[in-house]
Amino acid sequence: MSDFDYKQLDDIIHSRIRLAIMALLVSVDSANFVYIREKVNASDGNLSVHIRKLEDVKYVSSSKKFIERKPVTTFRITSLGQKAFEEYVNRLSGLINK
Amino acid sequence: MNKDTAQNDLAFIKGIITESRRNRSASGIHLTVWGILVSIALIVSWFLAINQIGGKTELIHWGMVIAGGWLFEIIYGWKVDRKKPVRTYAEKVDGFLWLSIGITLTILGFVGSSSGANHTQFISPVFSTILAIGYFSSGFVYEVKWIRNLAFGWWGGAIIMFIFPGHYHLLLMAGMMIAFQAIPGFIIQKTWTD
Repeated sequence: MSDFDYKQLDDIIHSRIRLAIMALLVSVDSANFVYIREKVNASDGNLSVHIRKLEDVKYVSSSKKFIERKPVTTFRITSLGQKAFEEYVNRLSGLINK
Repeated sequence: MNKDTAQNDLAFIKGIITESRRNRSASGIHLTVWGILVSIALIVSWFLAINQIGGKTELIHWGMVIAGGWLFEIIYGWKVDRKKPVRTYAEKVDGFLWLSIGITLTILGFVGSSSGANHTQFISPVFSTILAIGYFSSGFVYEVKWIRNLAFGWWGGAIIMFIFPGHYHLLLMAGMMIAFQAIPGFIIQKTWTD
């Protein structure tokens, strides 16, 4: 079993929950908070913290709207996020094939 | 990090992507509503044609059908579609495909016919070939063979209507609207959104 240089991996994506959020958003056009929460199996607070981290580095963008007087936040992966995710997956694959 | 962890992460990513792409939340109600509306309108058109009533009456009844269909799209889009928790790429592509087909058919059928540019005998077969494009493409986008195969029904109907012109077109097209549009829409709605 060989060790890998984990420093080559994007710190922001390299967290199980953020990786799940990114993988989910890269495969759909958009998804709302509740959908992501159910799919990644996270609590409201936990998801908020992690998704904010992704928003801060502009990997994910959000938009808010009111549906039947309730606020609904929808998330999308940005082109920067897509690029970072691709790079992360490539690095991971590269490390495995080393 | 070791090789096992990396492989595990990749499998995790793959699993999420595969599951998300498999998500089919497209609604078939649009197809069913348009299928029923247009088939009723075609039967009314057939009745008008065999009784030699045309002109303004024909134009008014088609105008009402088209306006009714688009009104449904706007209301349904506002009431239901915008509440969807997720929108897949397939759904987005399919939505734009059918929107463009809808606009094309409206221009051809309503504007083209009322201006006299289109020969009324050829409206049904032309519509049929355009709808075939929609089903063929949708079938590929969603990776559902039976939806793709509906296109062959539309193309087959178009060939028959091009070779054998007549008022029966209207009834044949009404039947095709039910068999190849309203019923498939109902099946999609029942199986994908339940």
